[in-house]
Amino acid sequence: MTQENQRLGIVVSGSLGKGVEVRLDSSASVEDMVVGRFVTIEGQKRRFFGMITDVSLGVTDQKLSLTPPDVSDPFIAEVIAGTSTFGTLHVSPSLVISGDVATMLEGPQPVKTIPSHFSVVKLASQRDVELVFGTEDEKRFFIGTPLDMETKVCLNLEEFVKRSNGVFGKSGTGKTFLTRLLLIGMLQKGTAVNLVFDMHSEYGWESRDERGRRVKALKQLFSSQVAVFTLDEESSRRRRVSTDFVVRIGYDEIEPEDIALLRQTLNLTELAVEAVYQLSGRFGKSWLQDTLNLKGTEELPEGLNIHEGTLQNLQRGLATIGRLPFLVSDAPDNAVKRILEYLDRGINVILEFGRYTDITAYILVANLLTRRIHARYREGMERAIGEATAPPRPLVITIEEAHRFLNPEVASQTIFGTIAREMRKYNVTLLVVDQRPSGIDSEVMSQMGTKITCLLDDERDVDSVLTGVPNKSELKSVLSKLESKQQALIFGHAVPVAVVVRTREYGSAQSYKDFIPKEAEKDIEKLWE
Amino acid sequence: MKTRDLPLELYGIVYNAATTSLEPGRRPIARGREEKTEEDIYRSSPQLLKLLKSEFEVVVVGHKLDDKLCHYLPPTPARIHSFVYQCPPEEVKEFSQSFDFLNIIINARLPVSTEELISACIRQMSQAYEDRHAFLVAAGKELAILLSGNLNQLKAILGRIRG
Repeated sequence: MTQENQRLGIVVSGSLGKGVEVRLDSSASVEDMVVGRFVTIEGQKRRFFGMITDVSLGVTDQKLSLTPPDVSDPFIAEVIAGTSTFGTLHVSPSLVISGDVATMLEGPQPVKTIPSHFSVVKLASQRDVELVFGTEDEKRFFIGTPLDMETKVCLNLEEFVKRSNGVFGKSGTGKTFLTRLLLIGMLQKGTAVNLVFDMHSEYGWESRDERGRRVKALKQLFSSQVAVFTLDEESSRRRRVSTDFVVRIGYDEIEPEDIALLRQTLNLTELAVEAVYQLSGRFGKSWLQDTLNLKGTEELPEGLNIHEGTLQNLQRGLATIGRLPFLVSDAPDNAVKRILEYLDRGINVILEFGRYTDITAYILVANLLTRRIHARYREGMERAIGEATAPPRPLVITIEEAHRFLNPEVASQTIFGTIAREMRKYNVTLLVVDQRPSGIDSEVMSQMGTKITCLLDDERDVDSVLTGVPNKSELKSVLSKLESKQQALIFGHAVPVAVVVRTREYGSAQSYKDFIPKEAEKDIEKLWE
Repeated sequence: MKTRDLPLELYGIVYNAATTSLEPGRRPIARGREEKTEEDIYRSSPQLLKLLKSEFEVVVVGHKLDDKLCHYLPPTPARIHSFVYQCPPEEVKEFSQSFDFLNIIINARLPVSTEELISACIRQMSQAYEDRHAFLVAAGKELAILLSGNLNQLKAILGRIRG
């Protein structure tokens, strides 16, 4: 607080493309400067808002670094600091926050120029940060606080759900917590309904964090707005989750496209995938069961020319699927229909996988359901355009281990690739959660609206997350210096400027209370009266 | 030092002082072999006081015109026979609010060592301040900027003014 609006130094050089160099005053210690902090630059006509992206040391005379003065003498050290030796900051200005007409009328504007020479640079005040990120309201959700500040950084969720988004980070850096926060945000603000493919059963009901603390999840906080679907009834029962629906998928619901996507995981040959299309064309809906029942190529219906080896390869692969317990020859209820019913009512659906954390099951189910849901949304949207009725509610589908769906080989085939590219046309977007972003197709990555990334240290992962970002090299230095817990870099559509946040607390009683809207809280209180 | 020559007052810094005989070329003779103290020399030959003169040289570093303090050279030199006064501490303090005069000293090619002069001057000025350390640091910083191309000179001065 005491450092608020502290003068740091002056602009000494720079360019719009590369950002500006700031020479630190002798009163500001270079050791207090942290990459990721916000500063304001008081230009002659405009005020600029930017982030520290690098810190370096300079000397006026090279001789000084060759024959360093005796800094053990405090007097000499004090004299030299800030005069002959000084710190420099690299700041990338990203917004103009006041000074011209546009900012007065429409708020902060992207920079199109840089501050003039020797403009004064100060630490951004709470007010400046609030001005840029807005305050919490019906559209904005408080996601965390900037470094060394108490101000709230708010995410514009209305903008957020309009495009596909990504949450990235190494394992154990807080992706799940962040995703939970985002889901809560969307629930709270009602900007979209969610369908979560919950591979590790963490979003619906409580789970334990790394310290072994119980952490509540969505169904417990927003019981009326969340439905938990499960593939594994037993696991859910053991964990005392109140489930709303047990998903069973009939063999007849599996289509050749679903198998094509599983080609790698099932170890199928190209020919085997070709054969699937032929078989389904011939057998119709019951193709899977019929193919499994075939004893050899001699039993193939006439006109189908499938090689013995290919058939064996295919049958082996299909048998893996057939063994999944939630696949039944005759499903009692249509899961897709049920999910859509809930979604239409504005209830968020979390699909728990229980013990089927195997990637085959995950890809199969996620792809199968999503394709159908997407098709229905597409119809709904087209009808809405034609008949001028209300379009379906925006839907956000959360997928984990996204690189399995969106890697360059399958991204063009899977529905997730399509959704990521088509963006909001059909009101369906993705929330991609992944620890290996370099595995995701670069086309998909570049289309993502907002990216939220925790610490990543693999060079390739960092590069792929930052594709299509203008000041890539600067963000790179920020990203690689994130702490491994509770810190994330947010950039893209939903925030006006890239920002490093300390994520909002999640897990304490108070934090739960903050999530629940005030009116609802009153309702609950009334219940106790 | 300053002259009081209203409306123009000149400020200067003494850089040299010497006592010589009145007649140029005539050097003083050693005396006092029979005397007990130095005072006795003058007591026994009082004419000495008239035959010797003390001179000091001053480099002008600023002036005050109509109560406005300027840290650069005055429009006119001091008049002959202007009286010269020693500045009181308050005035030293007022004058040393700005270190612009240091540049004049550094660039004035004086017959004495610049480092010695500057450090002596700053040490003296610092006595007018309650917070001597702060003044010395501020002066040091100014010198560090002025002498950024001459590290050895800077080191020499800093070594003489610290403490």
